[in-house]
Amino acid sequence: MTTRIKNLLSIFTMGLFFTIAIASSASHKTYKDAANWIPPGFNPNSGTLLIETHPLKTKQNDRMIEFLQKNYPYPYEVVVSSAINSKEGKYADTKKYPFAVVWEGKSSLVASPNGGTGRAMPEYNMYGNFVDRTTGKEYPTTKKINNYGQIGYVPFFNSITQQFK
Amino acid sequence: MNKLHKIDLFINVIIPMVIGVGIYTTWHLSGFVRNQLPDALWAWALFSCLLILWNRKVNTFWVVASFVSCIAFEILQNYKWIPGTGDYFDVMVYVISGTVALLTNQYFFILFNYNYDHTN
Repeated sequence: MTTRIKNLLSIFTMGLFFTIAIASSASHKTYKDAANWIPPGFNPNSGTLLIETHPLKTKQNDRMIEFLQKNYPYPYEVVVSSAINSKEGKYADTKKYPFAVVWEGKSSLVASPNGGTGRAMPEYNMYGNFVDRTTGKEYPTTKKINNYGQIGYVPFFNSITQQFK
Repeated sequence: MNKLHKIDLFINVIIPMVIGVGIYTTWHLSGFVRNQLPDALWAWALFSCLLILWNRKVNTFWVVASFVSCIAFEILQNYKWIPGTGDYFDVMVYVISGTVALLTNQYFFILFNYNYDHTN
């Protein structure tokens, strides 16, 4: 095999490996402290989980719904926050819809990698937490490192699915 | 590519990738095994594949390019320039795994000595 072919194969190898890595990254991540933020009385098979729409753009909400369809095998409905908080209307029945997941987006400026002499980089991370709609109790969010940006729902729902598998 | 060459590729590239995929698709695992071990196996397979391609002789350019690419990959993910989630712990895992692959390279070169002696 000539050096030229080896170089070409090396480029191909690198491309192939990084394509595989991009295709599989983040989709498997979980939060190890799921037992601390999933309500003790929550059973994904009992009742329908209300999930607040993605706090950012419609496009992100569509991606979240697509993810849920593929990866969250329990009953759920994605609704606006007013429907979760309302005591009237379709979702008023707390026996049918006992729990909800609401999101909080946290934006911050992170110092630039060169020690803060350059421009700070904006960073957005999405935190989810459960709400018991019967009592109104809000459960905590994860205490683990969350640097999943706009796809913070991925490790959130992966953790729930893993917990009840 | 002779039989020993194929065995080397199977042991150090195919098997780690298959195990990594297996871990990704196994839900009941958690912690390091689920989050970092597949990354470590991926990096091992990448470095091994390049080393095998160069007949288990360290090609400095491709070794450096691999380390730089792994680090850049996580940085780009961290700033959302490519899909995924940047994780400094993953960078550490890549570097350790790549370094171990390089340190054990001589062992595999000797193990498959016959192969590489006859393919150069």
